[in-house]
Amino acid sequence: MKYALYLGCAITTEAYSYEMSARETLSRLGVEFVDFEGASCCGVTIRSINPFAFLYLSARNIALGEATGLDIMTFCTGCRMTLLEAKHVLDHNEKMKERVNAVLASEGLEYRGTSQVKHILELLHDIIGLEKIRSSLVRTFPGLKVVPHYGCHAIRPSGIGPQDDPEDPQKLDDLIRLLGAEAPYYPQKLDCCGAPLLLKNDNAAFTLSGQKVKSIQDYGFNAIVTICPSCQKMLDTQDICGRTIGATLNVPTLYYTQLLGLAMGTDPDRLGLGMNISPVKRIIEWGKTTAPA
Amino acid sequence: MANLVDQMSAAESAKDVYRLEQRMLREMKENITDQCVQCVKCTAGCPAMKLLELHPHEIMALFNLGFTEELLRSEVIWTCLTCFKCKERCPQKVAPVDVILLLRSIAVARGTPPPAGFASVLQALMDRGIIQEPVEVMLKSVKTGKKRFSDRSGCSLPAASRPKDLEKFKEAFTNALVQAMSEEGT
Repeated sequence: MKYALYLGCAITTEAYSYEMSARETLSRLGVEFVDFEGASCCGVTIRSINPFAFLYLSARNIALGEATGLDIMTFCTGCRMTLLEAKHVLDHNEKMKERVNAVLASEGLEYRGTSQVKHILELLHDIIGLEKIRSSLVRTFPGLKVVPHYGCHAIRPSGIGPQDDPEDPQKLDDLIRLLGAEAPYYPQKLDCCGAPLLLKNDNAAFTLSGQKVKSIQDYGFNAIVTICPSCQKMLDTQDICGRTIGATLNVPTLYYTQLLGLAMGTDPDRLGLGMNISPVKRIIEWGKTTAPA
Repeated sequence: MANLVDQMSAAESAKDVYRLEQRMLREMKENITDQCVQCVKCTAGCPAMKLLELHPHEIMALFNLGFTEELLRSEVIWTCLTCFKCKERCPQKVAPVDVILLLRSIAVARGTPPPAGFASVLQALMDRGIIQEPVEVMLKSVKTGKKRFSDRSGCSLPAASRPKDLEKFKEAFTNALVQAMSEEGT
């Protein structure tokens, strides 16, 4: 299994713990990455203000990935949706592909449509598969109640690529249970993290993330796992979103790859767990100093 | 920033933009929004509904009744989180989110500045191709509790991938920005 790795802005410039834990766990599962040079933003943030420039930016990154001859892997759900939407348009609209390629030519690039775009959720659940992951585990989390936060752009809009049920996703639930933890249902499962509103109204954005974390805390669940750097940032910075809604929030929030790494017995420092802001220590020590519920 | 928006809107004559947006709006109406039956499923699931009073079914109704100018000037089109639930749930296969995003792009093409956050992102992308310079993060060892500031290499990660020839990238990105509303549409 070998992929061209497209990280996107958030992971490249800030969410290092996601990249560390994903590279660490995936390499143990036999996945190799080619890091190609020259990448730019996927275009997600300007999608609504300039539809053509969004297509150009996405096509540019896909073209760079295609040049490696490999399929393209994303860890960020925003990049996943954006690249897949652009790919859907370009593969079905020859005229638009010509227009985009006319712009790409000045950098010596060409979008051909030869590489698939995939996201880490699909990689873990469908490509590597649960059995192979299970055989890599040295530790489980009995009694730990972990709620999955999928992120809107991991599962919607449907019709742009394979992923999960847009209304009742289960793959991250499966991956949590695989680690011997519980993945309880909660009514806020599909609620948005609020991140896209940061560009317009950050108070409203943090209200949304704060309300989601507050309900998870009130249900008494032990942790939240995410598969997107923007969702993680919104839900992990509980000092900010807690202050916004006037609540004290303390729910350990970590990337799925960090929890997976712990289950593989990886050194927490190699998973970047010291960078999480929420109290993840109790997850690292789960079952060691804490009696399972 | 204002000059980037100006650049986009000045790319075509006002007449061309007007002609084109009328066509895009007409197509949107003919192909999609006529089918809206005001069942309100979109608004019931909208994450911006309670906080910011975004009511997608009302936007669809106003759009169908021809209140395009009012919608283009309204701040409410900028409150959508693009969660795509409305597109997923509509029994009539109507997509309020698509209408909202089209209205935003038409507003910007006419020269209306988008909210400040969008404007600064656009400027950052023009300046460096990615949203910000890679930052130094506080790296705290779980084992020893020791703290240090760390960049990508301090986290044992490879150098950031970013446009190599920034001038060439800027030229191409500018070219893409000014073509936003040209004839073949999106």
